[in-house]
Amino acid sequence: MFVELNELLHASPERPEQGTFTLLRDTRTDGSFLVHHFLSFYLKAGCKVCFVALIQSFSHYNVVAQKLGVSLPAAKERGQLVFLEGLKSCFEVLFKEEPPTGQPNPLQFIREGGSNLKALYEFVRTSLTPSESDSWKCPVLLVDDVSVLLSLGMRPVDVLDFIHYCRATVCSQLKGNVVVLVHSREDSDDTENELVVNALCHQSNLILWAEGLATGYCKDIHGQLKIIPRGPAVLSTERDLPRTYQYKIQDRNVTFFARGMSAAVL
Amino acid sequence: MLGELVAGAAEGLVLVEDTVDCEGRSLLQSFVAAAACRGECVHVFGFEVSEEEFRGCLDPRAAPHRVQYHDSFHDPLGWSGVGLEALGAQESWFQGLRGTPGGAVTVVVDSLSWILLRQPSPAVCQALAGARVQRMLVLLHADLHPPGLLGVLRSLARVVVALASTSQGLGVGRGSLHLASVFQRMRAGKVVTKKEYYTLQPGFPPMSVEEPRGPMSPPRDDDTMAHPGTWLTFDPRAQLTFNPGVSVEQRQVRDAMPLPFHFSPCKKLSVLDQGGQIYYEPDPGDDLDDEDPDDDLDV
Repeated sequence: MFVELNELLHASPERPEQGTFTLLRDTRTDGSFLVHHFLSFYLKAGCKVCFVALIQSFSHYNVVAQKLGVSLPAAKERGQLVFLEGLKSCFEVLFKEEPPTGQPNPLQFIREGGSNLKALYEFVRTSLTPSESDSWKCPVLLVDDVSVLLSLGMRPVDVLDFIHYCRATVCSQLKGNVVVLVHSREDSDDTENELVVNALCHQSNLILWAEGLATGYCKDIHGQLKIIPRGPAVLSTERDLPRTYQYKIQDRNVTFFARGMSAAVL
Repeated sequence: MLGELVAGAAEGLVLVEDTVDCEGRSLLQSFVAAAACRGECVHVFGFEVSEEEFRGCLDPRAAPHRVQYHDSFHDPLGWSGVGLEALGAQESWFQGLRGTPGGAVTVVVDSLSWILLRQPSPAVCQALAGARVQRMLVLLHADLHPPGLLGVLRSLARVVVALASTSQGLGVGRGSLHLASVFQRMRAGKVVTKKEYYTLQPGFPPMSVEEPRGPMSPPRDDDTMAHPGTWLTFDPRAQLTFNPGVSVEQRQVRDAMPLPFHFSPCKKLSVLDQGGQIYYEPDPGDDLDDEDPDDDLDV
């Protein structure tokens, strides 16, 4: 996890928040560093994590997690991490026979046209429903990323239904957290993706919006991050106001600074 | 005007439009709290938030027993296999409506966007047009729907409150300022439109509303924010360290001053030569010749 980002969010692995829906949004840049942050944050916090990884392989996330001080194989082995590797599951859905146990593949919607994401939701619910032997803190669902579900043929309403049920189960019933990454583009013709992005913004308690610089690539500033708290309009402290920082991604850390205050330009 | 609507002047279909930048659920909850305080029976059909979250933001003085929450959040589509599908019929929002005999009833839909994304919009509009309740408050996320559908819904509504955020820096501190564009269609056919700034106080009591002055020129002084009446007497020149105005005498003196490059006749006379001569003593090597050197040319 990135210590500076924890300070900006006033978050601590000793006291993780509960019942929040965090939306990670990126425009003109790659916001996956936020996914790696939250994955390592919640594993270090002792939460049970269900990671629906549709973009990268397990080894990719493991390599990055090791740089952040977390071992994903060890977390899987002790039952703290439930990892759905989308790339492997897609292959099984398309080219392998259905398993004899009758358990539907969470990604069976790829094979069945016009279906919904109920099987994926059931996978999430089953993974995060605590058992008697579990001693983990609040459950956490991490999705990387939602936009690919639209690319796989799902309708925007199906994606929103899936997220709705995840919020209802994980946030409301189990008092856990949901973190979802979605891509967006300005002046985009993809109205379905923009509909999903806007709808998720309305449902979220916190939006972390990573944007590329409007002036283009910069070696010392990789982008800017907007932290937008949402919820009731009672803003009693200044920390509840939207804030914008610029950041630079390094090998094992991400540094944040106020706009125009990069060490390279001072 | 917004305060009057919250206090009970809004009747019929009341549409609260919000966007990603400015959420409207807080305003909806203030309507609910005010209706409950008036003794009305309030039925909330919640699709987007849980009952716990919705009630948690209500004013504790709002008589919570008058607010009945119909939960369509946890299992609206019947995926759990236990609950009933809440969207089985067009009129399903009104199922279980139990109003006090002869009493006032307020129906709240949070949010209409959730229904419109899953139900045919003509059917939803018909249900809204055919509703026979005293007051129906619906929350609509304006950035999720095409402009045509928004226009249809606005034509059905008696009151439309469109919310927008203000630029940063307004109301930093206790409560932020938001802009509400209110459109009200009165019974006699008269249409009233107004734009107001408003702020929501903790606990959601009836709000204090303020009117914008001039082209979005808010005061920066905290004292001005604490006293809404000073909006009308705000003078930006009071903050300056110099006086940009001129008195009548100063203006006359300024007008009488000649411009630096405006040559009046007297100035010309003072500048031009009055008979001066040039005295030149030639050097020993000079070859002075009074004749015109061009006289020998045949041009």
